[in-house]
Order: sequence, then structure tokens, then C-alpha cells
Amino acid sequence: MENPLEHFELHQLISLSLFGVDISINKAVVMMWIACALVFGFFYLATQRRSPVPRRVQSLAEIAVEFLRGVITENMGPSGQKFFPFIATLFFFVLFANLLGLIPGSYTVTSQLMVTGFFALVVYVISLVVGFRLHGLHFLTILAPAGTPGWLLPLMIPIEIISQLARPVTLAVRLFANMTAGHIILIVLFSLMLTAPIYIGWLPFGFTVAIYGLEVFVAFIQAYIFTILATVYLGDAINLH
Amino acid sequence: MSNEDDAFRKGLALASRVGVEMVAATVVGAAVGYGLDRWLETGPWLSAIGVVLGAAAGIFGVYRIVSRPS
Repeated sequence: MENPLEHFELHQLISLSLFGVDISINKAVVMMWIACALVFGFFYLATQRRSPVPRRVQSLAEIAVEFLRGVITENMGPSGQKFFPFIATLFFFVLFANLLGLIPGSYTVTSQLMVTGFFALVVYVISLVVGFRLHGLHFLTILAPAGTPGWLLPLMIPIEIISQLARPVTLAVRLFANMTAGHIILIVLFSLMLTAPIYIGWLPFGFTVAIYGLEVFVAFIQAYIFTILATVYLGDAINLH
Repeated sequence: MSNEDDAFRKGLALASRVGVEMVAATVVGAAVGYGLDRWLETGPWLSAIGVVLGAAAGIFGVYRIVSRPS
């Protein structure tokens, strides 16, 4: 059986280097471009020939946008709507990258820790910047949860610092681990089918199909969770306590 | 989206958050402790404290997730 991790490896398609920094084009980069193009294409189609009674693509886009607006209001309050472009970009890019990875022969961009890690870092840094801009140094009281007795502070502040530092890590690892694990399961089951004799091979094949269906669902759920946590972290920075 | 769908989606999101939360906090705590040990040359002590504080942060984080009505 081939190595189940082999298809996560990236090979340079075009070697490029800018000021000594490796910016080579590989499959993941191409897939990100395609994901961007698909998101753009989807909304271009959805906003063509707009009508009060929406057609299929338009109503799909409207449902998604309404849904994201609801998530933002729920976690960030009404003032969070100015982050809508950022949150929506994050959601649609992650969602399309996840779904794109499910097409055989393509590459799952979100199964690279570098990609998810960078997204998580951007979200977290933005939440810090927003917090310090809105509240100044008062934002540091996020390290002392409301209602903590004074004698507990020496214990609570290190714990809070760790849980703050863990935020970008959880955000990155969750998306990366879910996508990677799903694809490993798929390839292991599928190689089982290829190596098994036909009278038993239908079993792993059936599971492959079932897990594939689950992976489509996971692609949506993980994009949703990534977005929801981004709004929760930004919301914590906006509405301090 | 119906109410039942909504509850299912939220439950799934919750389940997916809780596990990673605990593991990541413990690992981050250990990493911070280890880094401080390397920097201050204080032997294994800060790593040990870091693991415990990290685990505490993880459990606290889970507690906060489940007690938030969302």
C-alpha cells in the first residue's frame, strides 16, 4: 500500500525566489488561486441580473450572507457588522478550499498547518489590535475574568495568558487536523478496497462513499466553526467583559 | 433553517471545539514553561508548572465554552 501521507506532500511546480524568500508555486498555491476565483465567480454569478424574486444562485448567496450576518450579530453585537467583509471572506475562502480539496486529484489547502496557522494568526492579531484600539491598556483586564477574587489573581493571570495564547493554536489545529484526518481516512479506506478481493472489497468501498459524504459535511462545519470562533475572539475584544 | 437543524449544528460545533481546546491549552502551557526554562535555566520546574497551568487553562476554557449560552 502506498504511504497514506504521500498526497499531502507538496512539490514545486515553478521555482521562484524573491529577495532570498522562497515563493515557489506549488499545487497548494494554485488551489488557493482556484478557490479565490471560485468565490469571486460565485458572487459574480449571484449578483448578475439581480431580481426581487431571487434565482437559485442569488438566493443561495443571500442565505449564506444572511446566515453570516446572524452569526456576527450573535457573537459580536450590532457593532460587529463592520467586520462583515473580513468574516465573510474568511468563511467563503475556507469553505471553498475545503470543498475543492474533496475533488479527486486536487489538493486540500487547509490540510497545511502553515495555511490554517497563518489564518489563525491574522484573526488573533486583528482581535488584539481591535482590543487595544477600543480599550487602550484597559484591554489587559481581559486577563482577569470578571468576579475573580483578588487572592486568586496570581493564579488566574498565568492561566488566562496561556488560554489566550492557546486561541490561535486551537483555531489552526482544529481546521488542519479535521481536514488532514478526513483525507487520511479516505485514502486508507480506498486503498483497502483496491487491495482487497472483490467479494470483500465492496465493504471498504461503501465506507469510502459514506465517509466522503461525511467529509462534505465536515467541510461546511469546519468552515462554520472557524468563522464562529473568529467572531467570538473579535467579539471578546470589542465587548470587553 | 429549522430549530432542530440549528441545535444539531451548534452541538456539533461545540463537540468539535471542546476536545481541541483542552489539548491545545495543555500543549501551549507546556511549551511556554519549556521556553521559560530554556531562557532562565531553571531546570524542569517551569515546564512542570506550565503543564499544570495549561491543563487548568484547558479545563477552564471548556467550562467557559459550555457555560456560555450560545
